[in-house]
Amino acid sequence: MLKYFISTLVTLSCIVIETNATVSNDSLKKFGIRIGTDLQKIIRSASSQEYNGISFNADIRFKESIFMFSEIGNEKKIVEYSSIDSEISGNYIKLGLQFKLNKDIIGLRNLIYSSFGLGISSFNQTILRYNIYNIYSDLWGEFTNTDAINLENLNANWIEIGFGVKTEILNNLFLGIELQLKNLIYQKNKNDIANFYIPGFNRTYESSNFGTGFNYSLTYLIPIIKK
Amino acid sequence: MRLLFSLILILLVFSCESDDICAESINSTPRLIITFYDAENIETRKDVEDLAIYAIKDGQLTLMNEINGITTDSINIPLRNDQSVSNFKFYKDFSIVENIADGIVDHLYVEYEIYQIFISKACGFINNYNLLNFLPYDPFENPSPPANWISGYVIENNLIENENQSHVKIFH
Repeated sequence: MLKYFISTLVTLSCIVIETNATVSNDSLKKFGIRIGTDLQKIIRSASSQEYNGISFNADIRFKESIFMFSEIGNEKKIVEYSSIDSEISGNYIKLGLQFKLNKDIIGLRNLIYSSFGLGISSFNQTILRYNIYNIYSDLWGEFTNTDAINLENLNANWIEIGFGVKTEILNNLFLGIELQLKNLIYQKNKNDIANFYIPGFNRTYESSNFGTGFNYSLTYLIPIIKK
Repeated sequence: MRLLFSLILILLVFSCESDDICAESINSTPRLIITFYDAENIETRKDVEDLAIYAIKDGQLTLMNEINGITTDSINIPLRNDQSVSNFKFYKDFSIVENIADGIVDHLYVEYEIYQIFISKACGFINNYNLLNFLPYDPFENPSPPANWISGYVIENNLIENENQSHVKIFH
């Protein structure tokens, strides 16, 4: 996972170097890579037995009001329904653009933005327990199967729109909240068994391809150009 | 921006609809369908008089609720799901005399492969079966006694995936 993170950083730094020359006439006051993590995942990991996750994000301003962002993460989640228990674990990466919506106020570096991105996840699912649905179970009794079903090398892609705010709480340190709406484009199932959760996408619904999410991000802006 | 806000709100509400209830219209695990035919005229259905079926589970006999002395030419019986063999006692001319089952009895041995089919997160899975063996006696009883009232059988459909057609014919 670290490998992905580093390569994302390297990719973004390349863009910085490339854009360096072209922004010389730009009015950007501060320019740099913002890197951070999702606090919500850390808090949930600490407080819930059923969840374990971490993510890192990075963004870079490459036009007056456009940022490019990337997020990588790893999640493990146990979902428990009345008839099925399942464990899902895997990695994801998101790439996209953020569009600044607010005007700059001198002295404040707050950001209101909307975003559009693409998510890719690769994960495994293990069905830990499942009921056999049988309305005639009075003869032999109910039966719950605890032989695990392993479903490996699953993957999914989705598009994601987001809306968020970031506010500078200390010099170059930003706290943000973002709401996301996702729509699955593709998912690979095995044995016709639904993917109950997709890392990065979150919970899935049987009747639609929509998903939702939010994060609390803590990000640090590494200044590269200061004019 | 206001538009974006309301869009997100609407879609959040939409995506919260419940899919955690198993609808009653969902097909349950199918049962084995047996139809009874005349041994002398194998194309003709023939009723079994006062048919009763006991399920044998770990040495215990359980009388089936719906088949407890009825006269019928076809029955649906659930198969056991925790193992791939089900054993039954088929009584003809069944009656209970002083709390003891009375009638002409045959042992039925049914062996099958089990396939799990995913239905939904609310219903879980159902089982489908591939019928391997259907014997009108107990193969572990030695020597196997001859059948008392069942004179023959034909497996018509090995795959038990629904209750739309008969899986086994019994002649008597």
